Amino acid sequence: MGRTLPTATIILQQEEASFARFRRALRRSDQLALDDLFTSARQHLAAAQYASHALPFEVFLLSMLLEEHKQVMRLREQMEQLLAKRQG
Amino acid sequence: MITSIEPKFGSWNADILKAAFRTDGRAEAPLSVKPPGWILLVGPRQVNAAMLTAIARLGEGHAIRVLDGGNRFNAYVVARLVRGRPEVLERITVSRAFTCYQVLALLESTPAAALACVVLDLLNTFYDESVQAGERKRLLRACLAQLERIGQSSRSVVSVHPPKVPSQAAVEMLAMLQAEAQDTIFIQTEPAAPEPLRLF
Repeated sequence: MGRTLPTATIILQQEEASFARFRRALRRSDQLALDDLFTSARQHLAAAQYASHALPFEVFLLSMLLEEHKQVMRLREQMEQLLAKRQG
Repeated sequence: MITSIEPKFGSWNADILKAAFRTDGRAEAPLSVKPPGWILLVGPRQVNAAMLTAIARLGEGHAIRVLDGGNRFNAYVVARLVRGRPEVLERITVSRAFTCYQVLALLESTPAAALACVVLDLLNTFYDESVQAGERKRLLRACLAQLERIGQSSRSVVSVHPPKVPSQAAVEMLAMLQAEAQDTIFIQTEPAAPEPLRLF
């Protein structure tokens, strides 16, 4: 018996491959940013697998957004600490 | 991409299915296959993509039962085709079998309800040579009886792909299916066009 559905890892690899031409047409700096986005989606593969969503790419997009938001929250916190230090 | 469907016997069914199995085909077409009986589609494995498209389009309007004999049903592809709409996905019921014995059990347990019924890659497990040819044919005969029962009330389509390694038993089993089918449609796909040269 084989798998009835591809795993989240395989789907992400397929999605990444389907954007290969898009990536190729980007500037080098943008290519690195795109690679970072896919890396952040890869960090949540276990959750994506568990979610068993009908449209896995939506989960990957949300994973990317999650990492981006975490980064924003970290930066906001650092900014507040810097401002507090400057005022105090 | 399917480019032509050449029916062995010209009939109204062939024209209907021709429209249905175009990737941009309308949803209604295969449901016009009227019981009793079932339609046999014979074609290469690439046809499966068009089958999944047809299943997705059918699911938009009607309840549909998919019996998967060769692990051909990719739910992610169908979900993407219907844009993840749960009301459409809920109308599609999938059952899978991984051995020829399971295919028979699956068909036996399928009620003869007035739903559209699609059997994907029926012969896949029957190509397994670890089961004796006589036994496989006996099971296929029993499957044909079940298909006839299901076809009494359901609008049914059965797809078959040729085996990777041609064998006499496979040819005989295909002939058995053709003999029982209401109509047989051979689907040809055009060879893939060469990749265009890249400028950079």
